[in-house]
Amino acid sequence: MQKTTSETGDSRRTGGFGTAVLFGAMALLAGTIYSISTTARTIFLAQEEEVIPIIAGGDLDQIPALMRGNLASATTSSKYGTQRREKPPRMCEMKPNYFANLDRGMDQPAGYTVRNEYVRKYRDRRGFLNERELRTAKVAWHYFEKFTQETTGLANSVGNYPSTTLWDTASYMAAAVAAYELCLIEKPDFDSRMTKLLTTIKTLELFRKELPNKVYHTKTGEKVDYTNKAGEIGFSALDIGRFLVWMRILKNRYPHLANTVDSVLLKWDFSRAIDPEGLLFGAYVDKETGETVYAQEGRLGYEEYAAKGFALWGFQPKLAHRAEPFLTASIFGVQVPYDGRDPRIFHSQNYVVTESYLQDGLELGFDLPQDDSTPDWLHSDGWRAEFADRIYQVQENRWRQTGFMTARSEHNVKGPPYFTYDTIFSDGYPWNTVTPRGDYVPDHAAVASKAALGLWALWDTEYTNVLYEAIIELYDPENGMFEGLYEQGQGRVEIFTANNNGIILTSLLHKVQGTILTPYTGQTEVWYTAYRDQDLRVKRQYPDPPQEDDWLPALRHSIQAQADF
Amino acid sequence: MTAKFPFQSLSLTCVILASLGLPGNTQQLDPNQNLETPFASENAILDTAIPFAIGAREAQQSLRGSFGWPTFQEGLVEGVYFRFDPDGYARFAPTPRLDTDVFEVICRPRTYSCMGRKGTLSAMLNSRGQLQLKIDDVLSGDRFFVSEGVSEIEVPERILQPLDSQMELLLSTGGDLIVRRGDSEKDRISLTGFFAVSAYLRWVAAHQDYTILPRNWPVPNAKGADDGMTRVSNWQSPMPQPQNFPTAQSGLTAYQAQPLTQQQTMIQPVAQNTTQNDVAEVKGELRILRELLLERNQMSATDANAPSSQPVPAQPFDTGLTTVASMDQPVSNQIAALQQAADRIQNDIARLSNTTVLQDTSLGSVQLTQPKPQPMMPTQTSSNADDKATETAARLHYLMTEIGLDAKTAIMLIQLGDNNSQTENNTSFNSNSANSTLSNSPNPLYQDTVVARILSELERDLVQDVSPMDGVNTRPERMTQNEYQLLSEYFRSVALPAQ
Repeated sequence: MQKTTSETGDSRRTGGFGTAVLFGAMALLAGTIYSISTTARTIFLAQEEEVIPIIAGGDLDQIPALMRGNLASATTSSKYGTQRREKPPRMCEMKPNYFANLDRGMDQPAGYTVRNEYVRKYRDRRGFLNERELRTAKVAWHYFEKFTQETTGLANSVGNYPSTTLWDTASYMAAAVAAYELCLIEKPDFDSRMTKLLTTIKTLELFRKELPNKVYHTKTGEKVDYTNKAGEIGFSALDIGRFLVWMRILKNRYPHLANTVDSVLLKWDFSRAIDPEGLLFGAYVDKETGETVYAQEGRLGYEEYAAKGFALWGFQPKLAHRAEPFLTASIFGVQVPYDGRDPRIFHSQNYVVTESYLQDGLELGFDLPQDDSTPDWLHSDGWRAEFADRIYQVQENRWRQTGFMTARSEHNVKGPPYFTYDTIFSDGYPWNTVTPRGDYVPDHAAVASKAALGLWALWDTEYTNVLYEAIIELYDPENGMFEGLYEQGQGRVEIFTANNNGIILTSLLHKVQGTILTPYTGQTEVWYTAYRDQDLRVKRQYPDPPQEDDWLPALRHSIQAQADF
Repeated sequence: MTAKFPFQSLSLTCVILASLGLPGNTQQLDPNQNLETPFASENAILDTAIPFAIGAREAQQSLRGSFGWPTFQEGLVEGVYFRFDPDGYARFAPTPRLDTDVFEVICRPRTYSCMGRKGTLSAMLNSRGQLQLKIDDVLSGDRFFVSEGVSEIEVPERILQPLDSQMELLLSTGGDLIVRRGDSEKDRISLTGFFAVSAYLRWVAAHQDYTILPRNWPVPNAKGADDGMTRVSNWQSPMPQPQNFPTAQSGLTAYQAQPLTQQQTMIQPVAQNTTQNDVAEVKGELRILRELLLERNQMSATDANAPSSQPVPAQPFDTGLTTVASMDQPVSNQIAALQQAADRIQNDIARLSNTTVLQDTSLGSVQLTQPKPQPMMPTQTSSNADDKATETAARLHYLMTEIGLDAKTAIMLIQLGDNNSQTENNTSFNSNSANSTLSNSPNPLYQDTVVARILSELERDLVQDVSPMDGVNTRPERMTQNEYQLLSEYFRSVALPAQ
């Protein structure tokens, strides 16, 4: 009988069987690999399909410089989704009950918020102008009617002296805006004045092709020196900063002037005015060598105000906006902040005056440049508002403890020295009234009209009522508001200036409309889109539209809990 | 500009009003006031880069407005701080803030004609370069005094006329200028900064000429003498500094520069620290007093040196002038002027000091420049009894009125002299001679008790040691032994009977 294969076992050892097993295993392995790779591909392909696409202008879009100008500037309303403030109507267009339902934040406690915003102890004044105030506005505006040059549209800084600075030109713009909003002039007049002014400024010869010279002749538009003779002396970062504030106000309020406004600034070269750390620099001509010298400019008060002017146009003056280095001096129980840079070393005085704080409060509402949504009673640039409260309080305390009405600022005087810094504190002395070269001239101490009315507008108190009564009739119907009232009883400061009358008009406008700066309502701006196809933006350091990372920070400083004597 | 002059007048008026502290005068403002005038480049008469004093610096004005002077100069000179603008407007005050006791200088626009003003006092240069003072509300009969805080001297009414160098120097020493009407003090004006202002006025008038500068300007090739000039501690010394004539115009600068430099050279090594500075300054002060005392003694001796046959320099400045003349012949004209100035000084000093010993009416005929023998008083020629009684009375009168002794002492002294006619023990008189002379000095400067005490101490030193002091001053060398003995003989003649 024959044995089967399985019994003998010979069939498993055949070559054919082995080959078959080998191929089988290889086929199995290949199949496994295929299935794994297929599965992996399926998985990977599926993930790839789920990636969020980069949208032009979106967060993931590495947008080329050419296109960055199209971005909208980031503001608090766009980022936080809060309601944007609206431009208030002109006074003559306001409803009689306009102020009845105004949010004054009267129930808000004073102090810092978690976002370092600040609520002041006092509120500003709001309401329609009464007859006396309206008369004051008309008289103040008359200064500009009288002393604006037909040929250039520039207004004289002081009386009929045909000379001006960008600082005083900004005061003229402020006066024109106030006159229009208070219905003293109508749109044709306003547009005519502003267009004439802006086109003249656009054609001004710049200081060494960089920025406007410090002084210009108002009749000819020539750049001049301090004696009003043709020549150039440098540029002032502070003057330019204030001018930028009012250019932004003009542009935001009146979009039909926006292109003209942008075209003026697009002729300027900002590369020397602000450094990478955000410090502001002015320029002057070295007397010996004739070379341009760039020097840091600005001290606590003015420096931050000017810095915000630059920031309104996308620059990042982060260091200039900070209060440090600062010190405080205890005066009548108030810790008055002053710039800590020693004037003996830096050869630049650290004047503490009211004006820069007033301008910040009246024009910018003590807000950060990116803030377009907080109410007037909430100040997003908190420490500025808190410092301003101290500046007010120390002046009220002086009045209460000595009887001297006090509203101190820089102001012109009749006769030598023609200009004084009537300070709260400077050079280590409280209530120091000094000339530009440092002489102590207490006889020139005065209640400055602009400071008095500015304090009256921003601090609704018994003391500012007294100030109001002191200066509201201080006018010459032919020439405008007087500069002030001498503290020592010598009478009025009988001189008329653009800055004084401009700030008085701003104060009156603030009473009617609140913070002067209104939000920008457009999307892109020529200021940000121009010259994208050239290297001019890089050379002149034109900024891109500021995004959230570019915002100036909201900071706070230690507050004074009790009087310090 | 058609109405140029009225415009300048208006501007100057404004300047003056401002300088008077009347910034807010009640006059109606001309709204069309032209500010081109004060800051027109034509009004810049000074270059603020040229230093007025050592250590002065040009600085930038902190201008915020559209006009003003871009630069100014500030510094410290003669113990006062100063600042001036290109238009010449300047302030001088003892404090850096220029806030108190301010001397203000204002200049007529576009000219070099400037005026210094402090309170009711104003000073300006006349066409001859002399300072002319003006004091508001002064009437004829008002008297003027210069007070240095402790004592005061009366100055003649001619301070309201163009000042000569002596008067200018006197006012430059500081203190207060007092105006009295009767017994009441009408006005008191601080003279702090007067010297600096007068130098500034001349400097401006000379178009910032480098030869017209305040003192303490570095002397060329005198490095050693100027080492301490920049030390604030030296500048701020409250002590009076060695005097110098203020201008080259007076012609005295060349003469004064030499001794001043010598003094500084002597003082500087001592001034190593504040204490040493003070010591040096006190010594300098004492040295000056000593010089004055020696001059006065010399004058007294000159006037009363009848027994002396040795020629004595008639004027305290003679030696110096002779030296200058011998060194520099071309300056003879200046020397002549100096001689006249010295004569005036000599006359003044003589007038102040002659009452010490000379009561004789013949004093008026004394020629100070050419000393001649003068009889000592009282005379010693009487021999009879009447004459002797007269002589005794005269002695008694002299001892009581001139020497200042009481009657008892005077009589005792005369009796002592009579009883000891052969005795030569007049040592005590000698030792008191200086004090006696001093106490009788009519010079009001030294009537003060404090100053008198210092002088008496100095006098003792001089009596004991008449040799030149440390070589600083050569004048003590002229105090010869003969002159010293003259005083002894004089007292002997008073106290002892005639030989």
